[in-house]
Amino acid sequence: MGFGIVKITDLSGDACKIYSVARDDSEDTLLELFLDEFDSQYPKQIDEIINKLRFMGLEGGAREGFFRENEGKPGDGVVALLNAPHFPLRLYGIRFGTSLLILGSGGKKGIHTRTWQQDSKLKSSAEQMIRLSALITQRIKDKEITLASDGSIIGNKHFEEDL
Amino acid sequence: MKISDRLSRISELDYLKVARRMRIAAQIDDAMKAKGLSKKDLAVLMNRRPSEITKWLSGNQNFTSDILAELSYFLNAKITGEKTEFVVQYTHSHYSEAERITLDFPRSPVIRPISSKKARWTSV
Repeated sequence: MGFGIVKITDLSGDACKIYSVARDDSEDTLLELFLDEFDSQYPKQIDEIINKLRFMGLEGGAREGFFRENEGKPGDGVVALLNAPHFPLRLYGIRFGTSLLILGSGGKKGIHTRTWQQDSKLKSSAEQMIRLSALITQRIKDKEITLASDGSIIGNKHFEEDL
Repeated sequence: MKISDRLSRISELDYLKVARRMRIAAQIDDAMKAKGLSKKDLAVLMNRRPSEITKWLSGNQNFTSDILAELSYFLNAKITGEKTEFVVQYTHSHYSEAERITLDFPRSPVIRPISSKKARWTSV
């Protein structure tokens, strides 16, 4: 089953373009599914994530300081949104400078969970982004995708691979 | 729920609170870059732990007016949380370019150590 990279127009702005991933059999993106999953349990935290992403898109960009860097392989741009220490949710994505952010899914980080490898949900979400980063890198090398200076992804954003 | 529905659910005041925290973080980030300071450099300059600087840059910190005054002093920049224009950087390995939109900080102060043993500094 394939998937596509979808622009989240409601969060994207001049400072940063924000994308997520939608599987071919789903109308919702991974970001929307993540937000829906935790909305009833952590409504304030979900709103905080939305507000942060809105600020990045409109004004501040996806700055290094806003994320936990190096969550994937060296140089692949996989990050987790950096939240307050008591904040239980982890959201994974890929950061391309400050102007492009692709968001996937995430999960709840337990008190005793130190790394994503220790939790199956976090592991699956982080590994999705690691795979996606590798696929995008290959598309860029093959000149099928270009990253524009304003952060837009130009070219074929549909992938036949399973993520 | 679609993102647009979520945005309409969130109060503007809640957004302004988050945006102000993150704007301060972005202003610190830009001022550090303009001065070529690392997190460790700023920590030494302000006699703080590097982990505090990381927290300030995360956009999660509620800043006191005293810390804002300290930051403005040591970075010689307006760290206020008021709206400004930021530097956009493209730093990913696939796309390496830096585009300076607007950055108009006042002249840097001369900073010299007053004690070589402790990380205490003063402006002249």
